[in-house]
Amino acid sequence: MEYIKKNLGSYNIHLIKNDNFKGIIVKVLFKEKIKKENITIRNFLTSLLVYSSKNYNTKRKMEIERENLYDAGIYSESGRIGNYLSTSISLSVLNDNYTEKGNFEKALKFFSEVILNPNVSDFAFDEKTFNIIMNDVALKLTSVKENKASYSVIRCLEESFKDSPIGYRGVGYLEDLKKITKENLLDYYNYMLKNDDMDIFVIGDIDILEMDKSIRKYFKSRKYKKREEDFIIEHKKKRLIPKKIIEKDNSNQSKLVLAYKLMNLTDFERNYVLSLYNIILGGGPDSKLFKDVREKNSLCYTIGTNISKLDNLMLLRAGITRNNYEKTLKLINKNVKNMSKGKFSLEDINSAVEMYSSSLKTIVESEEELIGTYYIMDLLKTDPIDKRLEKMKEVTKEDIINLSKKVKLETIYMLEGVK
Amino acid sequence: MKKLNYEDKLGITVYNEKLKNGLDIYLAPMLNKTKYFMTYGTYYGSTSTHFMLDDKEIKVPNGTAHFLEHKMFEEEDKVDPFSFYSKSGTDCNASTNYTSTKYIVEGTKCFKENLEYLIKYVNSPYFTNSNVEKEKGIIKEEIKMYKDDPESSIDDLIRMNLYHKDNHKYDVAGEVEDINKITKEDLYNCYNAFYNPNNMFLVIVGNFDIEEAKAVIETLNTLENKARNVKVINKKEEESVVKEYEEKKENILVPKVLMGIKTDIKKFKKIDKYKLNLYLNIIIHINFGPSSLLYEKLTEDNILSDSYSFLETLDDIKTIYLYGESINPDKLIEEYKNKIKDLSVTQEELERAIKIMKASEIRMCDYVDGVTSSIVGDLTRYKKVITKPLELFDSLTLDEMKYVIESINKENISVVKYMPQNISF
Repeated sequence: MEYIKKNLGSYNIHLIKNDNFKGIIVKVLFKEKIKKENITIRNFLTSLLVYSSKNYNTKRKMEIERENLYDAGIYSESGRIGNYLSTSISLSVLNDNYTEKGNFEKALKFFSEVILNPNVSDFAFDEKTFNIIMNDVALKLTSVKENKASYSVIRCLEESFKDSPIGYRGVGYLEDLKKITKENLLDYYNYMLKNDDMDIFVIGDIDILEMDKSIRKYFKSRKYKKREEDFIIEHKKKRLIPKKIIEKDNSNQSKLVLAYKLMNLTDFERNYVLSLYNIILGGGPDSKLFKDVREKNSLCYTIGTNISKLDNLMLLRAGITRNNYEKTLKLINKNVKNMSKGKFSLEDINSAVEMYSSSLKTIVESEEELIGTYYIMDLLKTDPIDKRLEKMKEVTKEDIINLSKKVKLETIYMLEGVK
Repeated sequence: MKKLNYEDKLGITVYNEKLKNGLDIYLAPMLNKTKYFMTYGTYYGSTSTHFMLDDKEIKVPNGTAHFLEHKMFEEEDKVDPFSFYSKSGTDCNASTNYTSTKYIVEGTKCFKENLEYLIKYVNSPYFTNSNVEKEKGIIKEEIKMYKDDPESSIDDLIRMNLYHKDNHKYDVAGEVEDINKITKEDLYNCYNAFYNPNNMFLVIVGNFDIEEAKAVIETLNTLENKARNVKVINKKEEESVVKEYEEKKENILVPKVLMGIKTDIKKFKKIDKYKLNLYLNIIIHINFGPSSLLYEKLTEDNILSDSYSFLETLDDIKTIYLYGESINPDKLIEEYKNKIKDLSVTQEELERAIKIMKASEIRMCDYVDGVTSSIVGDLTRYKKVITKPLELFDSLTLDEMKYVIESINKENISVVKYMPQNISF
C-alpha cells in the first residue's frame, strides 16, 4: 500500500494505492466550521446534488447512467466532526480490468459533473428536483421520533448541550427547512464550493501519476485558501448533580441514555487511555456493563457505551422496562464507580488492548475505513496506524483509574415507554 | 478436500469437503487480508417447531430456535465464549432466522484455538432451569425493542395476513407469551434434533493457514449424529392470502405501506430455483426501483419517499414484498397494484440488470465478509454453492423473464397500512 498527499493550495489530493481491491473509490470531502442554521440546508444540498445534474436532469436518467457504468455507486453524506460540518460525495466503481476500457474515466467525468455541474438554471436549482428533495427531507424530519434509539440520543444531547454543537440535531430542523428556497440553496452551494476546505481521496489498484492527472483534470484548482483547524470541543463547566429528564412515549421499551463529559483530557488520554476505558466498561459483550446489567441481572438486551473523542463525550445507552429504571441506574452507577476504584483486572486491560489491536489490523480491509483513518490522521495529526499499538501498550491501570476520575455524569435521560 | 471451480474474475479460491458424518465444510483462504471469519451453522431456524425426533413427536413454542441460540453462550465452566474470545481480540456473535442459525467468529490471531473453541462450544450445550429462566428477561427486552420499530412490526403483521399455516407467519423471536413457556427440555430436544453434523455447515474465509484448518477439521470426523431420524412436520401452505387488507393506527408520524404478492411456487416450475430469484429481483428493480418510470412519477407527485423490497421463499410459496412510506398511502397502494398488473422488462433493461449483478458479485469478492455472505447465503438458500454466478447471470433470457412475469399471481395480494395516531401534516 502506498499513500501520497498533495496540497494543491485550494484542495488536497490523497492517493492510496492498494491492489487488494477490484474497485476504485473517489471521495470528495468538504468541511466548514459548524453553524446551527447551516445544518439543514447542508443536508438538503447533500441529497440534492446526487439526485440529478445538468446533463442528467432527473433521478431516473442519473440512475440509468450509473447502472450502465457497471453500477457505479454515487452517494453522499453529511455529518459533524467536532466543531465542523463535513460533507462527502463518493464514487465507487469497478476498475477497468473488470469492466471495459474507459469505464472509470467515464464514471469520473460523470461524478465530477454531479458535484460541479448541478441542475441549475436562472440562478436557481431545478424546481422539480428541489420539490422532491423538499418533500423527502420534510418527511425525514417529521419521522425522526420513530426511531426510538436515535431519538433518545438526540433528546439527551439537546438537553445536555444547549449552546454547543454537540447538542445540535444532525438531521436538521423543520423550521430551517421552511426557509430554504431554490435560490438561496444555490447561494449556499456556491458559498460551499468557494469557502469550504476540500479534500479528494482516491483508493484502489491505481496508477498514482495517471490518477493525479485525472483528478486535476476534472476538479480544477480554485483559489488558495488558508485552513483554520480547531476540531475538539472542550467543556468548561460540569454539573455537580446530574440533570434528570424523563419524557413519555407510547412505546414498549424505555430508552435510557446517560451523557458523560470528559474533562481536561490529555492527547494521550483521549487517543489511547479512553479507548481502553470504553472497551472495559461498555465496549462489547465482554464488558462490565454487559456482564452485570444484562447477563447477571437480565435487565436489558442492549447496553453499552460509546465515545466521541472530538466532543470529549461518552454516551451510555440501554433499552429497559420502565419499572427497572432505578435498579438499572444503580447498577450502572456502581459499574462506572468501580472503574475509578480500580475494580478491573490486568486481564481486562489485556483483552481491551487485543480488541483495539484487532480493529487496527482490520482497517486495511475496507476502503472506507482507510479513507476515514487517513483523513482524521491528516486533520488531527494523530499517530500513524503502525505506531498506535505500541503506544496503547504503554497504558497502565493507573492511567485508566486517573482517566475515570475525569468522567463526569452530566445528564440522565429516559424516553419512557408507557405502552 | 476438493477445489471448487469458481470463475477467475471473482478471484477467490474455495475448497469443499463433506465429512462422513455429513458436516459440509468450505474453506476460502484470502491471504491478502488481515482477518478471518468463521461461520458454524445449522439448517435449523424458527420455523421448525413441530418434528419427529426418532419415534418421538415434539412440539415447541415459537421462538425456541432463537432462544436456543442465546443459550449456547452458556458454558458449564462459566467461561463464556465472549470472555474466551475477547482475550485474543476476537469478536463472536450469532444469529437466527426462519431457516438457519449461525455462530460466527471474526478475528485476526489465534486461529486454531479459536476454531477449536467454536466447535467445542457449539457442540456442548449446557441448559439448566435457572439459566433458561434468566434469559427470559433479556429476550423479552429484545422482542420489545423490535416491536417499537415500525418496519419490523409492520413486517410481523403482514405475515399474519399472508400465511395460513406456514411458520413464516410468526416472528423469529416469538412473542413474550411463547418465551414464558420455553423450557430446558424444549432446548435439548431441538438441540438433539438439529445440531447434528449432517444438518450443519462450517465456512471459513480470510487469512488463515489452510493446513491448520485441515488439522482441526480432521477432529470433526469424530462428531456423531445424536439423532437417528429427524423429520420436520410442515403444513402445506395454500396460495390464497389470509386477509387482503388491514389498516392500523400506530405510534408513527409518517404512514407506511407493506404489500405482499403471494404465488404458488409450482407456477414457476419451468425455471430453476437459482434463476427464479434473479428474475424476480430484476423484475422488482426495473419496475419499482429508483431507475423505474413508476419511481420517477411517484416521487415527483410526492407519493413515495423511502422504499425497499425483498423476496421470500417458503416450501410452497414465493412472496414478493414491497414497502413504501408515503403521505398519500392509498394512492401508493393503488399505483403499486396497477404496476403489478403491468410488469415488464425490456432486453435493454435485462442487459443493464445483468451488468449490475456482475459488478456487485465481483465487488463482493473483495471482502472477507462479502465472500462469507455469498457462500453462507447460497448454502442457506440452496444447500449448495453457486460457483459460476457470472455465467448464470449471462444465461438469463427475455423469454424466461416473460414467463416469470406471466406466472406471478398478480391478484393475490395482502396489504398492511400503518397510519399515525395523530396526523401532523
